[in-house]
Parts: sequence; structure tokens; C-alpha cells
Amino acid sequence: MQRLHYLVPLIAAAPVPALAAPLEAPADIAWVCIAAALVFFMQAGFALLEGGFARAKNSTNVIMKNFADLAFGALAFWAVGFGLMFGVNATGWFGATHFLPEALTGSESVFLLFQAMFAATAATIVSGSVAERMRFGPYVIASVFITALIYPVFGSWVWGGFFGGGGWLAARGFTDFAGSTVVHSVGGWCALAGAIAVGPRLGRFAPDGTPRSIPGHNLPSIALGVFILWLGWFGFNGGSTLAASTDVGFVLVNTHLAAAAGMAGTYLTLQLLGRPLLMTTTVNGAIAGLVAITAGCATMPAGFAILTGLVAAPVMVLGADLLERLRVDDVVGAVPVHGFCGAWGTLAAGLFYAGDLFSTDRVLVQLLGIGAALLWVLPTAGLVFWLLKRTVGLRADTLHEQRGLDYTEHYEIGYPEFQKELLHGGKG
Amino acid sequence: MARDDQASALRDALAAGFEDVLGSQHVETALRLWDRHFAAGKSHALIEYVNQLAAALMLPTRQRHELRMALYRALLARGIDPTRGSDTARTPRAGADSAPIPRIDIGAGGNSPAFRVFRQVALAVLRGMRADALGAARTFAEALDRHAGSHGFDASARSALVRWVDGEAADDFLRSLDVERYSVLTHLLYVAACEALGPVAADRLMSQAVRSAETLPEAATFPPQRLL
Repeated sequence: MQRLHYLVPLIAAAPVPALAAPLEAPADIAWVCIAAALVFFMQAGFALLEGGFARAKNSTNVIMKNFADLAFGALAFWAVGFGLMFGVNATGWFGATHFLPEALTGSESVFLLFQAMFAATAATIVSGSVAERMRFGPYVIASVFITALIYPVFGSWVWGGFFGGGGWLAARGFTDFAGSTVVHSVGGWCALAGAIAVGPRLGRFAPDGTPRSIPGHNLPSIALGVFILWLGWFGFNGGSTLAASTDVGFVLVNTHLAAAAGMAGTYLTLQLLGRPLLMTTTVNGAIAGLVAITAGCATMPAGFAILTGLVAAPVMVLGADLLERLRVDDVVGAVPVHGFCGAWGTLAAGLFYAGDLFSTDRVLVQLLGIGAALLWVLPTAGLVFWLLKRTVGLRADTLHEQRGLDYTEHYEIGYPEFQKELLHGGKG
Repeated sequence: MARDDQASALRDALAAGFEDVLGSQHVETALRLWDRHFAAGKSHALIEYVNQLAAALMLPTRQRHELRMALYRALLARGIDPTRGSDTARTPRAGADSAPIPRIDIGAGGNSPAFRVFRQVALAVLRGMRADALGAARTFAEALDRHAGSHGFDASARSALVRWVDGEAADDFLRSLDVERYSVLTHLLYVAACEALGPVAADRLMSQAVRSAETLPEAATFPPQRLL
């Protein structure tokens, strides 16, 4: 609701009727329900993408984590997160009402459903980063903390006050229409904290620090996952209008163009760097473009949306290089795609704000929001992972890495026909 | 009399089938189990028999399947329909009233099947390591030494292990270990291979090593998967 005023520049520039109150008309409710379903479907995209990036022996474990984000995340967000994020926000720092909400109106319920999908998206970004070596139990606990605390608190600063009050960043004019920072950078920084805490996979880096490639087991699955994510993003960004208005058209065109530009930009970047045209990197470029445009999809003209997507590509490619140099093992590239490109997209939303291009004040506010996200999320997520590491243990032991987390965590194997040489003899 | 001939032919067929899969050393054990509990059973006693035998020998699923197929082939080669009953007697049930299934000693140390299977796996990994990039073998030995320390191997054991890896010592140290330590050592070989070559090459190397050990006759008694 708070976000709808960002549509004003576009509305002023185009023949679009003024917005009515959101989620009151049946068409609005229907559209947001469809959008929520599309965002739900993004979980399938993440599962295919992350499962494909993992080795066969860990694929089931990764997909289980995606499911856990959706299930435990929904419960945690309903119980605590929703109130923290959207409850009456008198201080600007967090909401203080609507915990364990049971008596919501139909409109409020639709809003809760839509936002619960966003919370699960923020959490599930982590699973790809820490794949193949983080134990399932501690991961679930971390996911609950993310959806119940880390994500909603930051979200309340930007989108808070659905039931009254408002966030301190929103009050300063911070622009993040659908969550480049609120959802994606928050997820990306959580992923970074998790990857640092759990450490790299066994043998991922040579003793001298040289990174070793560990190819995913199913590249078609990765590609299909990205197709599904791209589709789901239409609900993610389009549904954030919270209204079935013609504004959705602007949002979806920008979303689509930025994704296309992200992929094209990755192709160009790889060519310029003289690197092979890897499918895995190229399709990640599309997601980089989608993440980047999420903040400004409703507030920038199409040309700038393309530019935003194009720039996201080198940000993603070079960001992945930086992580490798720092010996951070990010299996799917979640940190560069969601963290770095989320930050870039949020900056771009300030730079390319329609009717107020390249405004220094706006850019400074955007930088403040980007920095605030980093400063809130990285230490809190780091603390959660550190506490889990010191108490219940975060990392699967090396024997489990050898056997694969599918078997050691779930006693099931994704591809038994291809893994029988490595099945152990029945020992616990 | 005809029934005795048929039973004898069936027994001979089973013996021939076992020879192909288990090797000669376990044929007597297998036939004793047959004579004692299954010879008078119905046709599907054969399935139950193979299941019990495989459990006694701790065979993995694949070898269990191979064993069953070998028996069927042997029976068919002798003109015996494996689905036809040898008698109308009640099929024996596995349960508390059954006599204990004979256990086969997989042994530890000396020339036990476990030792020979482990040695084959380890040598295959070492061969792969030495065939790879310069310096990998050194990194491998250092990693093995380091990780062995954190898995309960004392200094003298680590020293003996590294000398064996470097080809400077005989098998005496390895012969003295029990089966559990062979499993631990196999894991340490994998971890060291990951550090020296990377996890992709280590997975490939370990798979090749297991396949190579599966060709040993001892693998019927001690499948190399038990080391993983």
C-alpha cells in the first residue's frame, strides 16, 4: 500500500486512471491472488535451478530446503513476521501488532498471502548458496529466523505500516517497488552470511586458493528453473501494484525487458572478458536483470529498465569473481545475483526515477537504504548462523559430503540408478 | 527316485550358479543353507533362499540380483524350470523358529576379504593420484596425514600410513586394522583426494576404485560399498 505512491511519476506521464484503494475491488483481489500463485511457483523455479546446480547426490537435499523455506517460512511469517513487517509501525523501526493474525478481512488475507510468498522467496535465496554442505535441521532454524525476524524488520523500514504508521526509510523517500533490496538483497546478504559461516565445499578451493569448478548435475533443470522464475517474476513485480490496473502493463514490460537485457548483457560481458558462453552464467544473467529491475520497475522508463538489466550482467559476473577470490563458495551465485544486483537495482531506481532523473538526494537515500540493509542483515544473519554453528552444528561432516546429503539427511537418493557405486553398505 | 534325481539336478544347478557369482569358497555354505531349509520348499522358496543367503553374506542389492539371475540361468541351462515347484511341502518361513543362518567371516587383518578389498580400493585411488598433476600426490599425502590425526590415528599409525601411501612400506600396518578402520581410511582417502584434485575428480576416482574392487572374488563376501 505504502508503495503505491511510487507509481505516481508513471501515472503522470501516461494516460492511466488514478488508483483506487488497493485490494478492495474484486479484480484487484483476483489479480493479487494470481500474482501470489505466480510467486509461489517461483519456488519451483528456485528448486529446479538450485537442484540442478548441485551435484546429483545433494539434489534432493536442496529441494527439501526450498520446500522448508516455503512451509516453515509461511508459518513463521504468519506468526511473527507479518506483524513485525506490516503491523502498526509507530516508531518507524518495526510493526507491533497483528501477530498470529486470525481475524483478518478478506483483503488483508490476500495481502498476507502475497507477502508470505515474498518472505519465502527471501529465505530460499540462501539455500542455493549453502547447498551441498549445510545440514537440513540448522538450515530450517535459520530459515525461520529469516522469515520471522530478519526480513520483516528490514521490510518494515520500507514497506511497513499497512495497518498504520510507516517505516523510517520510506519516510525519507527510499524507493523499492517490489523488493530489489527488501527481498533480494536481504536474501543475498543472508546467503553471504551463511556461505561464510558454513565454509566452502570440500575441495572447492585448492590449497593455494585456486577455485575448482564443481559442475551442476542437471543443466536443463537449471534452464527450466530460470524460465519458471522469469514467469513468476511477472507476479512478483506485477502483483506489487496490489491493483488490477493498467499500471501492471508498465511494470511487466520493464520486468521483461530488464530480464532480456540481463541475459544479453551477460552474453556481451562474457564475450568481452573472453570467457566461454556458459549456459549457467547466461541464464543467471536473466535473473540478475530481474532482480535489478524489481526496485524500479514501476518508476523508470523502458529504456532505463533495459540499461538497468544490462548493467546487472557485469555486476553479477564480476561479483561472482570477487567471491571466488575471497574463497566464498556460493553454489548457485545467489550473492552476486540477489545481493549485488539487488543493490545495483535499488541504486538504479534512484538514478532513473521518472521525472527526477539522476537526483543526488534520491541517490543518497537509495544508498542509505542499501547500506542499512547490509548493516542490518549481514550481522544478524551472521549471528544466527554463528550461534547455530556453535550449538547444534551447521555443517555436514566430510563423510556426509562424500555420501551426499540426499542420503545422509533424508535417507533417499535423487538418482539411485546413477549413484549405486557410492551407496554405502547399510551403516548408519 | 525321479524326485531324488530332480533334487540332485537342482542342487547341481545351484552349485554351478554360485560358482559364477560367489566363487568356490562360499558354495558349501550356500548349499548347506539350501539343504537344511529350502530343498523341500515350493518354487518361490528360491527367492526366499536367495534373500536369506544375500542377507547372510551381506550382499548389496545389485549382487543379490546378479546372484538370482545366475541361479536362474544355471537352472534353465539344465532344463529345470525355476518357477516349477520341487515339492509340495510348505515353504519354510524365516522367523524365530528358523535355525540360525550361518554367518560368513569377512574377517579383519591378515588376508581377510575386507583387507583385500580395501587394499584394492586404496591402490586404485593412489594410482589415480600419481597419474594426475605434479604435486597432487604430495598434497594428498599431507592431507591424509592431517585428517588421520583428527580421526584417531596416533603419530606412529599416521607415519606408517604415509609411508605406505608413498610406497615405502609393506602392508603390515593395514593388515593390523579392523573393518571399521578400513572404512575410516577409505573416507580419509576421499577427503585427501578432494583436497589434492578437487571433489569432481575425487568422486570419479572413488567410483573407479570401487568398480575395480568389485572385480575381486572377495567382493562377493565383502562388497566394496561397505567401505563407503
